[in-house]
Amino acid sequence: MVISFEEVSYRYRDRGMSPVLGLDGLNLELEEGRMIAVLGAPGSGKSTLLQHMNGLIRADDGLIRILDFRLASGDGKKIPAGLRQRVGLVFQNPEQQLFEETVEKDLLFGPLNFGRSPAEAAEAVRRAASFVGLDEELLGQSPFKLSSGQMRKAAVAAVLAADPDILALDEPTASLDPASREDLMQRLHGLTRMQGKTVLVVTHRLEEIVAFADEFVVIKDGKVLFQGTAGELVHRQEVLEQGGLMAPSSVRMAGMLAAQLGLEPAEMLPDAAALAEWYAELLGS
Amino acid sequence: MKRKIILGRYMEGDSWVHRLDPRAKTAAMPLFMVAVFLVDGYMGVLALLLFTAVVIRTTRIPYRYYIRAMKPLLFLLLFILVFHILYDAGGGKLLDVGAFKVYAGGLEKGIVSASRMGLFIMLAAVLTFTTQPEQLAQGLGSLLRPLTCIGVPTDRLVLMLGIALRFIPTIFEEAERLWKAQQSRGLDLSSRPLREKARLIIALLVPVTTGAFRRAIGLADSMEARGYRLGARRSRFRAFVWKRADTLFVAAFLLPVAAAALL
Repeated sequence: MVISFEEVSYRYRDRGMSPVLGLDGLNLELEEGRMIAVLGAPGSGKSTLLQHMNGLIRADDGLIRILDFRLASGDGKKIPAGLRQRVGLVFQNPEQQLFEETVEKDLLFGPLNFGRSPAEAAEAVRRAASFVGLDEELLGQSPFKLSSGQMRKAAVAAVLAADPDILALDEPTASLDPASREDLMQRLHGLTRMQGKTVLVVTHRLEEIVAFADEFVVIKDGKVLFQGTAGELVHRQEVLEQGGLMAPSSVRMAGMLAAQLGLEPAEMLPDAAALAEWYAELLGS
Repeated sequence: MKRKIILGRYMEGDSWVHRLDPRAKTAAMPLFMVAVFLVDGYMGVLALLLFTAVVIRTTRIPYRYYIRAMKPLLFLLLFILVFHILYDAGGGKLLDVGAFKVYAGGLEKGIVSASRMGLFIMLAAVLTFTTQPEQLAQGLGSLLRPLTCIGVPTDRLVLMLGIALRFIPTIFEEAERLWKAQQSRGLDLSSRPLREKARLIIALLVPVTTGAFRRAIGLADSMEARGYRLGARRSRFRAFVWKRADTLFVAAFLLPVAAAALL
C-alpha cells in the first residue's frame, strides 16, 4: 500500500469569512505501480487531494501515509525531506510555469534542487525528455519558442527529471488535441509498466483514460464515492451521474445497439476495437 | 499567501454599511482623513478610535478581521512609534537609559502618529470589506466625474481601477499556483542567500507577468468585440440611488472631524 488517506479533512480558509470544504473525512488506499484515474466534477476535491500528497496542503484532520512518509494533521508546516522528490506533482497547464532561458535549464531545475550533481541532472533531463517524446534539439531553445504541445511535454519532463516514485498529474490533457491526449496517456501508462512508478491522473474525461488506468477513484464533495475497475464503474449509472462523468462512447454505443437489438453487451467495451469485435461476434451468431 | 493580504478583500455580508451607496462610503473617506490629520493628542485619538469601533460594529464583520488588515503594515506602525519615541523631546522625561532618553512628548507623538495610520487603515478596510471592488471603482468614478471639465480622463482612470481591482485576485491566484508548482519541484528559498532569493523570485514570477499581459490583450479584444469604446455613452447595469441612510452616513463623519478639531 503506497498511498493511504485516513479520515482526512481540509477546509479552505481564505475565501472571505466562511470556510469552504475541500476534503471531508476522506479514506483512500492505493497500491504501488498502478495507473490510477482520479475522477470527479469540478470542485469535488480532486486537486485538493493531490496537493495533500506532497505536503503543499497540510490536512486539518486525519493521517496520510505516502511511501514511507507520515503526514499527520498536527505536525506543523515542515515537510519531510525527500517527499517532494519522491512524489512529483504536475499542475494544470504546467507550461505556464516555464521560466528559465532554455528548456534544458528549466528541466534541470528540479533535479538540481533535489541535490543531484550537474552530470546526473543532465542525464536525468535527457532521459525524461526522450521519455515524453521531446526532441533533444529543443532543449537549447527558449521555452517560449516551443509549440503548446511541446511546452506541455517539457513541463511534464521537468517533473519526471527528478525521478519521482509517484507521479500525480492534474488534468494533464487539458487543451490538448485528441492525438496528443492519447499519446500522453500511453506514455504515462508506460511509466507504470516499464518503470514501476505509481501514476495518478486527475481528469474529468473518463473516455481518454478508461483504456489505460488500472483503477478508478471517483471523488464527490471531498469524499471517495467509488473505487474500482473500469468494468465496475462503467455500469454504475448513479456513480457516473453523481460524479459528473460520462460513460465512454463505446459503452454508450454498445448500450444503444443492445437496446435496439434487445440484448445485453457481455462486458465493458473500452474502445472502438472491442465494440467492433463484440458487434462482429453478434452478427456471426 | 493569499490569507495574509486581507485589506483589499470584499467580505460577504448584509449590514447597513454593506447596503450603502458606494459614493457615500467613498465620500466619507476624505472626511475621515481630515479628522485623522487634525487629531493631535490622546483624547482625539480615543474619540476617533471610539467612532471607528462603532462604525466597525455596524458592518457586522468581526473585529479580528480589521486587526488582521493592519498586519502587513504593522512594521511601519511600529517604526513610526519607535521613531518618535527615540527622537522627539518635549514633556516630562520618562526614561533615561544611557544614550536613550524617552520623553512623554515623544511617546505621545509616537502613539498619535501610529494611531493615525492605524485608524486610516481600519476605515479603508471598512470601505473595502463592505463594497464590491467594481462598485467602489464606479462610485469613485461618479464622484470624480466633475473633474472631466478640467481635462482629467476620469473614464480612463475608473476603467483602469475597475479592471485592476477585478484582476488582482485572479493574478494573485495564478502567482500562488505557480509558486506551488515550483515548490513541488523542490524550490527551497530558506537555504539560499538573499540576492539569489530575490533573483529567483523575480525569475519565477516572469510567467505571471507574461500571463497578465496576455490577459490584458485578450480582455481588450473581448471588450472591443462586444462594442466597447472608451468615452462612448453607455448605460449602467447597477444604478446608484442615494438614500437618506447615505446622507446620514456622510453626515456622521462630521463628528470625528469636530472631535479632532476640538480635542
